[in-house]
Amino acid sequence: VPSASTRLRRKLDLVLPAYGTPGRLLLEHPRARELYPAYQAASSYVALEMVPLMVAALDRSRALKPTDPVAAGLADYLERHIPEEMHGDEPGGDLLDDLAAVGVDTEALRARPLPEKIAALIGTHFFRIHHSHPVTILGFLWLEVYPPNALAVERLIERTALPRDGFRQLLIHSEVDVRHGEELQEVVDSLPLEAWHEELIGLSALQTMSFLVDAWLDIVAADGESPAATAQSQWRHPSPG
Amino acid sequence: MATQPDKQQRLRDAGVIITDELPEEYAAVVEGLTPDELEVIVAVKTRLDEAGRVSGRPADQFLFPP
Repeated sequence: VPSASTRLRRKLDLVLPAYGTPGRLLLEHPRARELYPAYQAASSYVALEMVPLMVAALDRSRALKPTDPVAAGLADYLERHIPEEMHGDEPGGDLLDDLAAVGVDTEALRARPLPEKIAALIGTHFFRIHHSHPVTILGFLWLEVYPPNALAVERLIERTALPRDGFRQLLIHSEVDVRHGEELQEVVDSLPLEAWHEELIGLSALQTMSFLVDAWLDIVAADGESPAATAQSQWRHPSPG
Repeated sequence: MATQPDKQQRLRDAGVIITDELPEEYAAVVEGLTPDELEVIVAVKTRLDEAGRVSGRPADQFLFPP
């Protein structure tokens, strides 16, 4: 019988080619230099909300753990993993520094109303953490099983000729997420998950990857007049790099 | 609820599965998909198709198995 992590990996295999497509399109895009800041800004919402979601899941797990062995194991994991995902004095702060290095107005990014799709994704996860089960956070974190490819990042740096400082988090995650992804799969296999837990994790992972594919395609596969392209351009300073 | 052949057919109709015969381990995964999961997978493929049409650039490399 395949392990829970194997079942989950196979499920996500169904969308994995799609998950890689926007990155390939960006790398091949004639306007890659212009599009990269917006592309990475779209990803930043997931990075910025990862720790707050984990903290919410940890709080809920602690409340449940006296009678819930899945919550107990999850709490142990999150207590270890949250500090690893801080990436700055504030959660996601280092990624904002990267964005600023390629000309993104990070204050504007944070002050703008949250795009509806990311608001729905984040809100859904908070709801599930509190009302279904905090183990849903493992689906959100499942992205760590698919770290950025360091060689592809290097090609992107070369192709865009943007400052290397704008790619620091991608390069860091190309290394650390290999370990984080392995640990995540070990955690999934160590928890006494029932079928409904696995379904919750699987749906969360699929929806998170679906959101990113959608957001990235808005940038790399949109025509220049699309609302998405216009909105993305408003995040940028006039003279990046 | 959709049966296994129904779920496979839904993914074939959407262009997610293009192989004649799905490997056994993946057939089991497809069988276990919830309706919500199935719809997310189909929606991602639909989004890729749409992106390919809008941009005129090939975004349709959503073929299973990878």
